[in-house]
Amino acid sequence: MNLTTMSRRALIRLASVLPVIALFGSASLAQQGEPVLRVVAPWEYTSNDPADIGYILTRLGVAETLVQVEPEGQLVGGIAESWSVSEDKLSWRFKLRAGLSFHDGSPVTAQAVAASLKQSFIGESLSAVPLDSVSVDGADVVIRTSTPFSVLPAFLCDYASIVLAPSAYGTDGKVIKIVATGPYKLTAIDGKTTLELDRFEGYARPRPAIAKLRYMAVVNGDTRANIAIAGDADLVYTLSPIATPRINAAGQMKVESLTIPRVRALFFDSGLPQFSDFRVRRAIAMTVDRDGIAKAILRHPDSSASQLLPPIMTGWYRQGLPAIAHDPAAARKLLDEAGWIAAGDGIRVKDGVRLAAKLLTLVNRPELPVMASAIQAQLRGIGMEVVIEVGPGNSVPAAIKDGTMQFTLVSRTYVNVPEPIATIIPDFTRERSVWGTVRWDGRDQVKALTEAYLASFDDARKDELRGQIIALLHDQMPVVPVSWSEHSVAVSGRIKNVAIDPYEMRYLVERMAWK
Amino acid sequence: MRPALTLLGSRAAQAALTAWLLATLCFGFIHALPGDMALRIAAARVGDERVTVETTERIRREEGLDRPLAVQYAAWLSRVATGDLGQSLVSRQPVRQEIAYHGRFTLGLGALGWLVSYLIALPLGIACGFAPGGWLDRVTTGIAVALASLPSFLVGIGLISVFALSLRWLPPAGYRTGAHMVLPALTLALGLAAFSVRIIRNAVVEVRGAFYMTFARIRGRSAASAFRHHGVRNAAIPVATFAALQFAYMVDGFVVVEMLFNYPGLGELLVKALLARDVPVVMGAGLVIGLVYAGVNLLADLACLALDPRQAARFPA
Repeated sequence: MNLTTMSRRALIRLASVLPVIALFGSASLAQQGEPVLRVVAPWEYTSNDPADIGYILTRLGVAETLVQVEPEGQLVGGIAESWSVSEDKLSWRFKLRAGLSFHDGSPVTAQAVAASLKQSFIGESLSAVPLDSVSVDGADVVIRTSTPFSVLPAFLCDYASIVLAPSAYGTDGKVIKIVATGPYKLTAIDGKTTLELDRFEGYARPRPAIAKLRYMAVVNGDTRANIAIAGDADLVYTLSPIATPRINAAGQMKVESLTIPRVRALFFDSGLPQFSDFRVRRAIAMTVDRDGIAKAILRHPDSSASQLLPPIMTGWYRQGLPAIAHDPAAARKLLDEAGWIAAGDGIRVKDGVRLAAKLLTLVNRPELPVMASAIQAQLRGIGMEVVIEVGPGNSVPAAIKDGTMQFTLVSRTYVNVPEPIATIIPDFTRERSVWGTVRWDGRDQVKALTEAYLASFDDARKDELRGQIIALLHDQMPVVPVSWSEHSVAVSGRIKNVAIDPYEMRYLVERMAWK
Repeated sequence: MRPALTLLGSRAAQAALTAWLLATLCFGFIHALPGDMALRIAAARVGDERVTVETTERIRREEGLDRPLAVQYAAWLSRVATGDLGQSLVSRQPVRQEIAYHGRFTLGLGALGWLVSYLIALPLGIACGFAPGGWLDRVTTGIAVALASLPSFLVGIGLISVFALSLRWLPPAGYRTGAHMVLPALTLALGLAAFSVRIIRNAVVEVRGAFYMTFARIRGRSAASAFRHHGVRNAAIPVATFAALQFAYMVDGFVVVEMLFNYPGLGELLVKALLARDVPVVMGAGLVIGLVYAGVNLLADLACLALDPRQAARFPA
């Protein structure tokens, strides 16, 4: 036997065995037995940090916050049964539900909740809360703020403030595993894409009907649509409106949708000469054919946005606001009045500045580039030149930061917590927001109104302030709402009682059942 | 023994050099990309819409992204020298663990794709080589040219449309079962077979026309027997070399196929790490891909050495 012979044999053996090893190493057999609810959504489980992935845990019903919001908008107790605020409006007392336990069997005590909340307040997610202290008083948790902060319960719905057991934290205070209180508990995490969940038998508010869940993260929207067309899941979340007809036509799953407080809108750098005059922004609002875009591109005529937030946000949708009609002729007249005169090539000019700008939009929502093209053509009709740039999801914060943002078309949610003020403040009160307006001269007015809103505990006064904030945005147009978004979910024929949460905080699987 | 050892020694040195060069290029390219790296990492961690200036600045500080590039590079190099690839800036998991997890899937998919490609290409290539210019040869050439000129994502979309969406025989995406692997493996295999079927066919044609084959026939062997005894081994030499070269195509193919089928392999990891500017993962993946590439080439060289002992003469005694 010589080396050549050995090498040949070894090679042949290796070549024949490798694929078999690899196949069996990577593919696992489908488990039989209890039916598993297959949930598909775009978000990957990238780490154990609640600030990063807390929303996956609240949506799947793994983790809960002190306070939760119902799909109809009212705040209800999560881990807390009830709450009250002190006379000086600085001290909030949260009475915990009796008899709760964490997924590891340990009891939910005020000490454990307070310790978990203290960790949550270290991060930036809840930095808007003027926190003074978190403490324990008997069986209650007490949160004290340094100034009156009327929207604290709404902020405590934030997924970054999910309550985890002491055993969830490592010695450095970082979360090492998820031990929470929700109706489902995590049993396995496979990479970043697959989570296996079982019903938590210690949960009885009431007991969920579906016992097993499998969550699969599919980032690509087209792939999610393909899964829905093939019927390879029970719930597929966040679908492009363009894909809906194809999914319904395939007949495997049915798309259900609800208009939610997420708006597709144009935001401006009002410091630029093109956009510093509110009449230009108003002319743009009058030119954009919102109804046409809603009907032809979004295939949902009701999604045409007449103001920042949709009617489902009863407190923030203002019935009496004058509608801005689609009227390009009036828009041209307004631009003439503002001193923007059409030059030889049809593009308007004022003081040597062309009415031209770069419209930055995002690739992660496939309808946005199409909408941008329609807006580009429509604005050309009133003498404005638009160049479209399509970037990844984080390109808008990057452009605002480096000063290259001119105007953007983005999809923006106003219910990161169930109180839009939490997003209105960063978007409209800063010289340079992260996602919203840049150099808008009305920001100090909004700031004064939002500060009054946060400090007010009077419902009538708050309603009045909401009206003033929305009216100011509607009048000055630092933002031009184009359409409200739909939260779409494709549902298989195997399940019933599917509810859509307009706040995008919960999938409410615990309320669903097999047919 | 000596030729194999010499080959191993020189290839090990080449592999280390290639891997280091690739990782260094990754470092250079990723830093040359426009945009604020800390902002991208913040967006990948907390989501695009939750990014704040405070989060971005904390990440910049905590991850040492405010240090000069040379210092960051030197820190990475010194860590790698001790066998530590560092931690992902997004998941905060060890890069070694991330690569091991995703590499397992890529290995499975690659092996299956490669195997299927040769299950298609070997019989077809040999059959075409036995009847060059015949109808089978012409049809195979036509299909091979069409497949070779199509980008793999188009082939993948075509397979998804037919087998997942229309016929509903196979799932359109995922990785959990053997059925999930069929379409991605077939996408890879068709791309690979499109080239290898021509290489095999040409090798067979060349070998069949060689003098030693004529001599074998004169000695009374049948065409099939002559090919089996003298042709297969000679024809296998260029095919083995080509199979190794195909690994480069496979890396390219993994990126597209894994993204298309939501398959959690190395290609998918690399794309997401690039988008998130997750430098340690990109550099770690570059390092591993470089090493594997060198390893595959070494295997091919050893295979050629085994198939053709005359090549040992290239190495000094």
